[in-house]
Amino acid sequence: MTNAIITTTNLTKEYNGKRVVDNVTLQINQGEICGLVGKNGAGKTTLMRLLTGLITPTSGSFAICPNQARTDTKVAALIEAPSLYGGLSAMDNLRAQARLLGIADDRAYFDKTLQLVGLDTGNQKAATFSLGMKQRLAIAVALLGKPSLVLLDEPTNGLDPQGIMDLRQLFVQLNQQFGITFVISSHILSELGKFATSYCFVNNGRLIKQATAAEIESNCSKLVRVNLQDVPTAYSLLKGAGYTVEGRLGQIDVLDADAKVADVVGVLAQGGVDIVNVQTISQTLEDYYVALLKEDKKCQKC
Amino acid sequence: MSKVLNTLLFRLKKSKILWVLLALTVAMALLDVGLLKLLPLIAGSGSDMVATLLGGDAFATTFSTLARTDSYSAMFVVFFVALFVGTDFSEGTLRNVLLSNKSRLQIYLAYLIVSVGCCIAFVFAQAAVYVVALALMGEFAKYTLVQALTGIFSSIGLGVLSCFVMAATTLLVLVGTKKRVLAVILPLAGTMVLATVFEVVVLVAQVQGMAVGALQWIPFAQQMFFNAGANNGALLGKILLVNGLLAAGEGVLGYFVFAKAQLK
Repeated sequence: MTNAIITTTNLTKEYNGKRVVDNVTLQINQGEICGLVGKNGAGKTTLMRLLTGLITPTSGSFAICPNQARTDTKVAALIEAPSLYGGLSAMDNLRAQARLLGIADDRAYFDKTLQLVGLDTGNQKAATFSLGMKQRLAIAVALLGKPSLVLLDEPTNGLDPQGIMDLRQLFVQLNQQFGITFVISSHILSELGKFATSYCFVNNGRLIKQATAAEIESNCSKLVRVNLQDVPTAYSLLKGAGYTVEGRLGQIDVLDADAKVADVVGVLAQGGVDIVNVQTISQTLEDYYVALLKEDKKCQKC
Repeated sequence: MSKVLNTLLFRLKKSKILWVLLALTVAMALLDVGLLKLLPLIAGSGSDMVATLLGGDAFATTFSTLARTDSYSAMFVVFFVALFVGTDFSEGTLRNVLLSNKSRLQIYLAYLIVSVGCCIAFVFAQAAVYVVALALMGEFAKYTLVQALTGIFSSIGLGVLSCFVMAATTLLVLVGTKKRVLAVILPLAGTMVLATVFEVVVLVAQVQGMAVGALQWIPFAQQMFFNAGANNGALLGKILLVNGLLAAGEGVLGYFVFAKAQLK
């Protein structure tokens, strides 16, 4: 039995004839931290708005927790700007949200939630907060009801590096401790790469790839990079040994996925080539994403 | 719906908007009383204060100044609904409400209940000042108890109904445009424009010899037919029906607009 928490089937949203979300079919499972990746205008925020019911699809369908009653599933979201009552303090924002969710007015619990996100603002009104503080409070409001599913649109917007790290640790902790599923859209791929367990890549409203972090890791290409001075000689030696190589000033890349450092060094040493440095380089998430976009562009032209 | 109402009431207690507008209502009501009291000194002759403030000499059938759609209670209701209920639209907090598994119908009904509640609060505040001031000044002395009570209750009832219309209109504009500024401007301006237009229509129709009975159905212009000292029972009935239908119709339309609204 599938443990899907979100499923979409040909989900589409059009504005004035333009498809902002285009036939998206995906499944996100319980317990995942799913990174929603795409450039500006790719349709990530619109997709999140569809999933939260803020807007209705033009066609297609989606289901939150298809295998259990919707009322048993608590969903929280932070879409674009933080949704807060500016005239209330941080504590009162939580108290208002608690009333909405039918949670008891437990100040100690609210204090703990604010501490979790690193907020200590007393009676200061939310309207006077910085963007980073508003973001933290919005996350606290989202987490208040212990939701099963949390959708976050650029949650680290406006946060300093320490704040970004703290939030990352918080999401991982909540995911591991309480099994909360996160769907997080972010431009900072290097940050997402540190904790996401699966990814949905979106381009021009279409889902171009959905994969787990493990699948991407195994598909990310590796190469052996050798820094040296005599590039032409090294190039000939490695080509002669049957490797696929690319040479540029001061370095040679051996592109074969199964190339071993020891073997490459051995070939060059036998040929009398002096090596400055040798290392194995893996394709980053950014490289993988850029490669996906290129492939998608080629496919669109076909 | 009770949870949404609970949240709205919590915010209401913390919000200054309601209290500031209530204070303004009381202040303007006191100003009304004060000015009318001074009128004989300024103009040499005065008017029946009870009749002017609560409407009409014949209390059995009274059309109250409170029921005029340009009354300041109705105006404050517009400000309150636009600014308080409108916060959920302008601050984006409506998302939190929608995500808490509440249907759009439940949310809309909660907004409607709070808006109706504030109508009653504003009208009662205005009426309370009038009644207390008039009683203290002995102005009720020339009326029987039945006349006084009938006048007061019909005045409040019509005032509340008139405010319902404004509240429903404001909520409709708010859910339709999601902009607080428009939710203030459109109902107020629209009411003034419509009142002027319909009053002109009535005047022209009267000159043309059209039956008064038919003209008494035209909204926003009905108070033109009030005849102090006469039996205005039929007119009152028409006012109740027209305003009641307007408020109910706008309330229902507002829900359908809200149900279909694409929200940010």
